[in-house]
Amino acid sequence: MPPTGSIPRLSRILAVVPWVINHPEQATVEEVCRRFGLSRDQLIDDMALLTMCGLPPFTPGDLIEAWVEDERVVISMADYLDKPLRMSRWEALGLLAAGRALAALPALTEAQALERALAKLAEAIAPDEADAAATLAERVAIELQPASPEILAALRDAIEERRRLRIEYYSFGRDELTERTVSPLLVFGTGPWYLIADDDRSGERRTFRVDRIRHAQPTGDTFERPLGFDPTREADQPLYRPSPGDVKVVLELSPAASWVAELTPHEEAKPVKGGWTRMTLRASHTAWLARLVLQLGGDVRVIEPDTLAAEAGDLATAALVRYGV
Amino acid sequence: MDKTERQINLIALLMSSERPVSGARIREGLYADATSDESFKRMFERDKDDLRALGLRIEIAPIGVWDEGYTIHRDEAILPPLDLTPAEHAALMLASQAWGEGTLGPASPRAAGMKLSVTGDGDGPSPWILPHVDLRPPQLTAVFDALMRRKRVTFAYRSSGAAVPEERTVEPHGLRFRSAWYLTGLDIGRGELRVFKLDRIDGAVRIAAGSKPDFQAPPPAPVEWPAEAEAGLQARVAFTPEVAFLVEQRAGARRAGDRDDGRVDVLVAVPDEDRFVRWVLGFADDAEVIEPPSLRDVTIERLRAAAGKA
Repeated sequence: MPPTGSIPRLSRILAVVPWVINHPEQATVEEVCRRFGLSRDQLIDDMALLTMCGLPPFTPGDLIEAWVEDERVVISMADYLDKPLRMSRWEALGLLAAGRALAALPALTEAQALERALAKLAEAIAPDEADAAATLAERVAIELQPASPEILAALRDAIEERRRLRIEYYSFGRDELTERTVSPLLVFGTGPWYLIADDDRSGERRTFRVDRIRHAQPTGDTFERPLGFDPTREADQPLYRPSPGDVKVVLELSPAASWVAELTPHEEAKPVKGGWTRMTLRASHTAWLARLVLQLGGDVRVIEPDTLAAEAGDLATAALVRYGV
Repeated sequence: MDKTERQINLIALLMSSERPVSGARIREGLYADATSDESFKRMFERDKDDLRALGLRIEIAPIGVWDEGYTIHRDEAILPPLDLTPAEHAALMLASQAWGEGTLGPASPRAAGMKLSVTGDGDGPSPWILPHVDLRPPQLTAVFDALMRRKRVTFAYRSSGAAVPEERTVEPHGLRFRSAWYLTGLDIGRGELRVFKLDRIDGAVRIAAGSKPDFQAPPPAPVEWPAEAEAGLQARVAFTPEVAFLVEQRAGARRAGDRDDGRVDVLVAVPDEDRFVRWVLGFADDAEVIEPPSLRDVTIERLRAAAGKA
């Protein structure tokens, strides 16, 4: 759930009220919370605030009526708030900047619809705000990471048509190419892109990096989308979910290697002497860490586990064989 | 009266009144807390600014011949029907959902989608793709504010490889999100356009004092990313097929031929030799630098050191 105040309260109330008034049938507590990213407590607080609002002199007949009954949200006596308001420059910026980035993405079947919609958006922006929004959009740019158009198109078709896929996947953690059958549910991220899919063999929900998928072929089977699958919530899950068998790893990184802590999910990173950083993390496989240690050379000190430095040394020896020296 | 409560009441009062409402009536009905004319004026102005950030403009209009009052033009205030097809509506909702929690300036970029969802007929199918633009970096608010107001900013910045952060003063020209947020702008101390990663800013961003802009609006210029700078040097690297497909997706990489042993030769642009060698080492025995000899030698040297055979 989003933290309180993540969307200015007034802005969210001014969207919730007209939506509830115009969708009395659909307005359950659960639906309103999901749609507007609210916790139940936030919604109840907003409803309580609304009951104190209205027109001066604020006699009972002047106040907005808002209550929850049988899990339904009901708002009345607020005809002056029954329509959504035009967008400000700040709000329009969100659609313009993200919309342009999305339209530039290969394999996005929605791209044309998106471009047409962005063109119609001028109407939606408050007077005097449209030019300002356009200027803002020149200064704030969103860039989405490119991805293989073929793989992305295969994932899109499989997700939309609920087709199982056989994927050839390079597991970075284990340094091996694996083949598996998955039920793909969602592509998310910004760079890199990830695929959320149910792994058919283990039955577990897994996250795969799209750029590490080498091939994706439909198996010919279809699957049922899991009930209650909520794309927004799934995309908010942390990428790395620790499991009990994970190994604790402690590395010290030189200033030149501080980028590693920026890119690697970790439990803790704290400064130590000489501008170095001590990073603690948990990992299910150490093959990728051995390669990281090999990469960093003198810019990393392995504190834990003891075996990691030797693993990196073995990798170097194996690589030297390639070079014939 | 709580601020949000008062602002809702202000909208209610002006939206439901046929005629402009006088300042006196507004004060009497909603700003009874104000202890002086000054404090009423200040509170009212701030409320007007807050509403404007959400797309709602309060205007001055004549009441009769002599007096003035405040009004909201309902036609201008309300979102008109946009004639969006379901596909167009869904596409805009997708753009709105791309934003994470947080605000950009005084509003949430998700708010536009919320407004649109009131007029949409339905939700359509669940999206297959969902980008995520993270608004959590703590420096984003100040940097965005300075960018909008054309104010200089000062902050401590940890350059890649530097042990201690250095103070920088920058004219902010643009913000880019590219997996992480970057500020582009003129580094005053160095007299050059630079790119700063917000994650590397240490501590708070200080905005120059005063409300006047510190510089002219710069032309929107494409940013030159350090990694994309013209790469004079090219390397040929043999990769095992297990990883070659990963490498081929990189910008500046091109498949150059297959080897008898199944490995694939890829030509890779080398803007920075150190970074290149580090990157190749990450593939361990799945990669072999073929050319140029100088980079091959450096790689072997690094491998020897790591294998304990230096």
